[in-house]
Amino acid sequence: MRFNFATAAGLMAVILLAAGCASVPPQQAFNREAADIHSIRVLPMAESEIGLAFLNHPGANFGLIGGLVAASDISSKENKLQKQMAASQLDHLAVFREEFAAAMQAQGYTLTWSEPLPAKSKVARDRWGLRKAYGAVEGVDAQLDLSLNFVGYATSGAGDASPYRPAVHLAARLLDPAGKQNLFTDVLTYNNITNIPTAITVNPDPRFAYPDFEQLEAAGADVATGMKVALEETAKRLSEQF
Amino acid sequence: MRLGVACLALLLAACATEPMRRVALDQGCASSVAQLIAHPAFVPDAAKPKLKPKQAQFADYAACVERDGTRTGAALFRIDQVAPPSTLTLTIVSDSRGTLAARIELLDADFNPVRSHGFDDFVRRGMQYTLDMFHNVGDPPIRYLLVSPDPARVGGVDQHFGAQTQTLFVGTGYYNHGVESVSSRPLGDAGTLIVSVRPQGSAPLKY
Repeated sequence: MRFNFATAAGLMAVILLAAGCASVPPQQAFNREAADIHSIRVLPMAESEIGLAFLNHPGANFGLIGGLVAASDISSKENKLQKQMAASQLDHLAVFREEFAAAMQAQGYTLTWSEPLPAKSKVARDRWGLRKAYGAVEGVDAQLDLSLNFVGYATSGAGDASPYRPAVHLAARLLDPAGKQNLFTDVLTYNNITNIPTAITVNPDPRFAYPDFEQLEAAGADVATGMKVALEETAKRLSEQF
Repeated sequence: MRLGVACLALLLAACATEPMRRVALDQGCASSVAQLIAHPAFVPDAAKPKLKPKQAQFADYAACVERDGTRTGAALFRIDQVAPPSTLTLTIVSDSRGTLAARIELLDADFNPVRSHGFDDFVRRGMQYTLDMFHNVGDPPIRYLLVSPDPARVGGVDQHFGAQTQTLFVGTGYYNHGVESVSSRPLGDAGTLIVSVRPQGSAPLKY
């Protein structure tokens, strides 16, 4: 069984958020009329993988041993989910990037993406995945820090009353080219399973809900389609903030 | 003792089921927005950052006004306490008793509309809907904010997805069980709201 630290960190972040351990970063709405912005550089994003968030896993009720059993079960299911997505050739970053770029272009913004988009370099980030410090960028009107903190499927617990649904969690911050002025900061959740109180909230598409993991596995390529719909809707809703 | 407990239970039950009040449209109705009482918007005090705005029902601020031959509830707020550049924020609290599907009009000193926003312009945030509006230097002067129900969205449904943890106490321990919570709340002409205005660049409000 493969244990992925990036996904585990994302999962841990989701669980911490669910536990109310983190408050949303100070939100700043974008004042479009006051900003003369046409070109935006998207800063390198952190690496991310398809994950599985399982809140209230039954194993967690039984101490350390139960916790380990729960972690093993979640990791096993997550590996299966990743293989299922890979079989459908879903590139979640490409889907998000294409939809977000098109939606922003329609609003008059041209995005310049960093290559490669997910960077391996170590960057100090806060608990929302946003950078702690920013440098200057040249040749554009603004720089955008994007953090896809969770992309995958999520369930609020075991049992038919807690279906697996696609979920996306991201944070975004727009700054001036000097990296000094905060023009926009917000957090967006597609399927707000962690009950983040003031994050921009997008309801999940009801077509993609699976009462248990076996049914999710049996759904084949539809699972990737649900993920794609979630990413596209997330990108569209984020673009609407500008 | 038993009587006290019974009274407390009745009181709690009464509080829990208090309906969302609606604006009476069948009584005296103002013939123009200018006749409405202008309530001051909440202005955060930098010296008292813990001071929070008061949530109040739309009906507490609103009165009946007849516009274009149609009677509607409308609440008028004065937003000129902060000079431009300023940020106006309207927050609608989603409530199982009813969520106000609000429509906004920004008015000048003569109550002429400068711009407007329907409920679709609001951003859904957990159990709230918010709309941030900017009043920049050089913009047409705005003095009032008028809130009224958005006829295009009244009668709709506000659906909320979340997670709930149910705790069962077993012997000396407990067992946590999670379930998805899906609630459907009616969008209507009554609900709870907060109107605030603050200088641009100041910290956003915390509720």
